[in-house]
Amino acid sequence: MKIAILTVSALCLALLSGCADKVSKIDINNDTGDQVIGLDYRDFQLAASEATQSMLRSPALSKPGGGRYILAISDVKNDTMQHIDTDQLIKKIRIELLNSGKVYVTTAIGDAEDKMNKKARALREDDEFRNSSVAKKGTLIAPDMSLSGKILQRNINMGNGKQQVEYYFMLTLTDLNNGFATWEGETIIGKRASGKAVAW
Amino acid sequence: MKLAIGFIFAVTLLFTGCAQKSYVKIVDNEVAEYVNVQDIKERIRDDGLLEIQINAQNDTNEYKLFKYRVDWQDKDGFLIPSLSSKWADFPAHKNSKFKINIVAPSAKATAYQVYLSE
Repeated sequence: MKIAILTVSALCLALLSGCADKVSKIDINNDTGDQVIGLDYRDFQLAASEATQSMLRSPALSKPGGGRYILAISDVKNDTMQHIDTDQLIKKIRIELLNSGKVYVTTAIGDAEDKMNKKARALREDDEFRNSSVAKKGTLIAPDMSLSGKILQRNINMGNGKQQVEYYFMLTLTDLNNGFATWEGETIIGKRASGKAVAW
Repeated sequence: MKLAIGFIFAVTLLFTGCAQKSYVKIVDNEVAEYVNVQDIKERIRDDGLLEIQINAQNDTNEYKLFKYRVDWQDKDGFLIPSLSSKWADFPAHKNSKFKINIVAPSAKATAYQVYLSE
């Protein structure tokens, strides 16, 4: 009897273990996994890396006389069929540019706005806060430059049961003093897969 | 006076000993078979950023795609985090010379190690 119970228990355990989905962690430093038809972190990393290298190589971010430009993040549109947050791209660029010593990114206005900038100033009217500790008027710095762009997707039916999906990462750096685009960059990522693969 | 010269010499030796070496290393035997690194150029740009360029050649009759990454260090040998430390693809057209041009992520970068792999 005991043997029968033990055997059934062991079988059940084996069955359950077999059914459990195996989860493995991605080694993001050396990811040899297959490509996906949609955009994944490797694509954003590539686009951000190419954009920042191109920006650093150009004179657009070199302030005459030294110092840093103030950069505002403007609209970066997601014009793909996928539900993605464009910060997946922009955050990487912001980190790299900040670390380069060439810009400060303002969170006072733009897409990167931190509402606390205004809320902290609204405390001037609040008697509960020591007035001298509240940010003074006229202390925010207006941006010199703006980063805008879009991520575009094109699906092409190749006619042999396959499809080609093209992604375009387009970015523009604008000098806000004169409206000139002082730097522009584009990274293209193309993928081919079965027509049954879903790119959204 | 002799003591002072001796002290300066010792300090110089100390700093030379601490200095980080810059190099290009092919970490994959297969890549070593077709990538022939001919020259490494470097310069400090007007904005203070170190810029390097690796001049190499694909000696084979085939188009090759390989990967590279760069570790950047400051004067004290500490790693400077950067997107260029992640593997990036690079094309090498058949029987052609190619150049990998990379700008340091910060003016603090004084040394680099470039790795090439399959």
